Amino acid sequence: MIKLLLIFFISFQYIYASECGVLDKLKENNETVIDFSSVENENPSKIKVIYSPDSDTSREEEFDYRSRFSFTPQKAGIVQFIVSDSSGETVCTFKRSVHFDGLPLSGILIFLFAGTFLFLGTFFSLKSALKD
Amino acid sequence: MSRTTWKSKFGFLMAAAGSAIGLGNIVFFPANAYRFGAGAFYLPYLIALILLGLPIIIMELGIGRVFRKGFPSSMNEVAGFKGEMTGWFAILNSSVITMYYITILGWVLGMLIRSFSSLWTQVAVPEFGIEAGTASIGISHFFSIISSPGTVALVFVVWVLNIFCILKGTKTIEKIVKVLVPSMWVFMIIMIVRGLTLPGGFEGMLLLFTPDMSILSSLEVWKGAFSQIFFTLSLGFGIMTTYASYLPKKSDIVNDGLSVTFMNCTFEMIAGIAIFTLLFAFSISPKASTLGMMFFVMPEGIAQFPGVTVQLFGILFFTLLLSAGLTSSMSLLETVASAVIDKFAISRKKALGIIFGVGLSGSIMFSLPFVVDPELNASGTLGLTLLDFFDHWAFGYGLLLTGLVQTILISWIFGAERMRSVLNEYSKWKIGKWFVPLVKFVIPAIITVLLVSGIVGEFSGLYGHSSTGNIDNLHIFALIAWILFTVGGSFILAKMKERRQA
Repeated sequence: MIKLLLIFFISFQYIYASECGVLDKLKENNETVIDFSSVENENPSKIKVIYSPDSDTSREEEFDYRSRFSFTPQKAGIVQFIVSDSSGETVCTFKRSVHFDGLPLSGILIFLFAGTFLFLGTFFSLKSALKD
Repeated sequence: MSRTTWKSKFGFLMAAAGSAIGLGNIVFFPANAYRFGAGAFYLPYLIALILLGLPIIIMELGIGRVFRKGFPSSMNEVAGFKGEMTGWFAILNSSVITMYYITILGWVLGMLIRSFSSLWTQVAVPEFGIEAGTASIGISHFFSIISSPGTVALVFVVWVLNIFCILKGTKTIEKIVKVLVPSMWVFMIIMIVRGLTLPGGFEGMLLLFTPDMSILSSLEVWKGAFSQIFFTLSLGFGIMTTYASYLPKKSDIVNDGLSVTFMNCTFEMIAGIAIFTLLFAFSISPKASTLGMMFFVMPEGIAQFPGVTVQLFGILFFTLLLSAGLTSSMSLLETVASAVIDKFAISRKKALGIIFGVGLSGSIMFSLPFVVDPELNASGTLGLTLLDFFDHWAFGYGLLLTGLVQTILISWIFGAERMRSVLNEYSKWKIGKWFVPLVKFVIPAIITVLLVSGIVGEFSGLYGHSSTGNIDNLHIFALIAWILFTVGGSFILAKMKERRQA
């Protein structure tokens, strides 16, 4: 229930690291240009993009720093951007949501299946139990 | 001694569902789902529900209805001394969990009180080196609460509330759950409506269900799903056996088990939707921890609501948590009380007095503020550190161990076929022959895999070895204390009955 508790005490430093880059809406498989020029004077060197940060399924991509960073998100969800300098020190970090490119059919199907199974199951079992 | 019964089937179902629906449903499920790839987690989760959750909950309810006794005494009927020892192990393990669960509820009460006034402004917490404006509101207030001696008073209040809820057994429990459980559904629906109407909220909901099929081959995802089902249905506590022991003899246990399971998992689904809408709308990534979700992530999201709705939804969220926590903690306490009353034939008043005294002391230990060791400031208070260690053993291993042993004892000693005929006796929906191999082989195998994979992980470094501050071997002390309390205590308690009978 409370595993990885201690990670939080480390992570709250992260939450309040400085923010940079003003983003338009990020969309799956659509290119967006992100402006990182606000951290130009802090010797930025790398841009790391983490898909699904803080999860067991997170995936990282690393790019050389560009003040105007052209980025095409590979999948919808939460992404984290971390800009670091040549010593690896974080210059700025922020998270954004990547929107779906259209309605995800598999998601809708699982939603409908799970919803139908659970709600109908609740309805019929409760109806039958309370009839007794 | 005559046993009280539920006044209505509705009361029993609300009590059992209220027990299963706890803090974990509201915050741990969404965190776990996010951790294991959202939609890809949902398929194993539903499979785990059918393969593991339903059969065990029905068996636990079944032995309660048949023997009409508390968990240790019912298990004694199943398998003699071995069974009773398993029962007491579950009770003592549940007692440890109840102690820190009530401490957490004390913190929830603290956040609820603050959400009426100061929670939405930042505070400084000098004990942890947090200056105003350097941490999110959730983090700063949470650390402010746990580092204050006032937290002990909050814990005391929650204990008094719990004792009041079970004062007259099923009579008071039934009255309270009939109000709290439906209210929780209403609160959660309000949260969903708010979440879905946020910009990006609908896509957040779809994110919960959209699978990344590539990770379905990961063993970790399947382990996560099976563990989630085990914990979410409150299996291995002995609660369902205790609650079913107050049912009339001719109750349809299969249908009751289905009702409780479906209600719990449906609530979990809508909680998942409510939380994911918020996470996506505000680009927050949850970390897989109940505490983190409750006290850091959700307040961070709610704080971004416009105007007066911040306070309104803050109050709603913490009231929801407190209600869900209370309906679960009262069921844990009732399970302990029922076992003690059955074993020692003492009055309910006396049993509750003992439980209150011992339990409150334990909860206070877990809420020890920042007073003992300054070195612990990097990892919380002494109480929080102990809570984390005991949770790891009691919740992570104790429940699975109980589930494994009780399933083996019921299916191999009492007899899986006999159990099936007991369950089918008054059931409208008959359980087929598939039940026998499922409980004899499949379920023990699944739980063994979960347990062994956890134990193997401990060999690379016993849990907590790097987070004890300058208190040497605190993590080893926690493990030994847990083993002595649960295994040693259960052996003594199970033996005591033999002496009485002799």
